[in-house]
Amino acid sequence: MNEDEKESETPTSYHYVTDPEKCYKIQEKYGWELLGYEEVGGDILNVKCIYEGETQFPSYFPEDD
Amino acid sequence: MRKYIIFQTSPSDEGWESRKLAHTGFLTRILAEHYAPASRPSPKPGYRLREYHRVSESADPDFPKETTHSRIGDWEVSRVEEYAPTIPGSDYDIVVICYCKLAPIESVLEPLLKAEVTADSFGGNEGEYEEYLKRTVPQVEVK
Repeated sequence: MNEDEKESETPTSYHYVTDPEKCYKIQEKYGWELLGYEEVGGDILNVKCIYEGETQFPSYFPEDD
Repeated sequence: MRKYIIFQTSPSDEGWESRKLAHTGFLTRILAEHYAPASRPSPKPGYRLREYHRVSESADPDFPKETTHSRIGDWEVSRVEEYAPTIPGSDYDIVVICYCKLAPIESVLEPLLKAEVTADSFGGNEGEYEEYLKRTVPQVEVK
């Protein structure tokens, strides 16, 4: 397994919200990293936020040997 | 304490014709923007962005526009610069620019986990959240 494959295991979570501003509020509330958000076509929840950060370990650093 | 991370290509990197800001139609170098706590480590060379895709067979009819899968992407960070504000009271404590190069890779298209819905989805409004649950949870007929 190379380093790129290790990064694919980084925990990512998704949250439906009513509008984009809430993606930023959740990011700040939980200290996650907001990777992006998209329109999803829901009636009430029309935005999906994409986060990385359900881990206390830095996700960007390759693991030491 | 906030960090703003921008991932950029070189202006003429492969695929430049399709890298457009949707609302203006202008071409852009931006691949992605991330927002993080300032304490979170910045990306390092070698980090790859993920690509998100919509597989129509997997689409949820309640969210017909959402992406359903992702894969490790072909853009790799090659250089990183960090900037701190010079003006007090700035929105961000650090701005990070990640310069990326195209480095195609074979990677698996993986299904995404289902997105969560909580009171945070409604800005913390528990009443709106409860109302949403009542409307969307299938009603079980009791005989």
